[in-house]
Amino acid sequence: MSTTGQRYDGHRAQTTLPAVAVALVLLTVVTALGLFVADTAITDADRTPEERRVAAAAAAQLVAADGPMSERANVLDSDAVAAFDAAALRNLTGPGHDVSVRLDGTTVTATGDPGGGTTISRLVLVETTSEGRLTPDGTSVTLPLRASNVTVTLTPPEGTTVSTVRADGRTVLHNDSGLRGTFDVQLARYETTELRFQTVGGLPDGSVEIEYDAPQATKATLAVTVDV
Amino acid sequence: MSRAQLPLSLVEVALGAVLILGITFGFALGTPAPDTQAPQLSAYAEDTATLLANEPASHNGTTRTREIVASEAAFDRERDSLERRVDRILPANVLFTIETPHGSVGTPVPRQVPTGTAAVATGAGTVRIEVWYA
Repeated sequence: MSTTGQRYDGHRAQTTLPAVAVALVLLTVVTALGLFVADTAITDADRTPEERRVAAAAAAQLVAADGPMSERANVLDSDAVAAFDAAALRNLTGPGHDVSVRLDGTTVTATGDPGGGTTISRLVLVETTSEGRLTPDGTSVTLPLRASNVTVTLTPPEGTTVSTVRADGRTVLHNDSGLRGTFDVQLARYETTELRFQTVGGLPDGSVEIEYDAPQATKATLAVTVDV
Repeated sequence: MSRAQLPLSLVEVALGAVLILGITFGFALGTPAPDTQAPQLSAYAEDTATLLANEPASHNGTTRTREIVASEAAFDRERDSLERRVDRILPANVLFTIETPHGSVGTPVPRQVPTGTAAVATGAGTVRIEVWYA
């Protein structure tokens, strides 16, 4: 007890004014540093969501079934790809962004020059259409898979009547008094089709001509880069 | 008796600095990095699903996805050609697995990697595609 009493009557260590000033300065510096680090961290976490959003949306529209270059969903038409220009791209993304569209590394079109920026890639098929022609021997013919836009031209000789054309047993053209001329035929897309001609009288070679579009698809990567 | 003491303000400033630095480290280490892989992987998975769902099957006159879920035998017959096809569709650095009611094709999905998935419903069941970066 006596020692405790002694402590309070002598010199007491006291907080001095300079120490308070130094503490205040130190604390302010530390606070400022902390705020700076926190701000940087949040800015980094928020890394250009606008770019990513625009790139993803543009890429999604380009591969959609009704996109400006599309034949079907994720299938691009090579002619439409060649015709796709900067104006169409600007129409798609809106002004204010630098956008480039590349197909397997080759630039299709670009608005501005997106140096860095965010890239979204989509997988597509590019379809080139070549025309095919068939002249069947006899009264039936098998079309290649995926033939589309089929037109059948019937020029039977005198005395022969082509009454019915069937595709895989389904009647696609029919006329009792005879078919003559050029007809469009709609076919299912997922199967090979056999066309069969029902005639009265002989059908010599060359009196039926079939024209069709034979699409050829090649795999490609469509990359959309956006720099805001 | 004269005793040297540490000024109380300096003790306080030390404690305050530790507190503020603690919060700062929370920001620096605790902020999640933005997930930049997932949207791209989802896009890959969806594209693969769309392409497969629109491709003619090699045998039964429907689509590729419908064909592989048609029956156990059809799945066994088509699994190799399906794997080759999807391997060609996807970029080289992307691995995949395709799940059907009859089994799965591709590489087993590793744990704790970001993946993208897409599903195609067909008349005979659902085909599920999952892709991730190798």
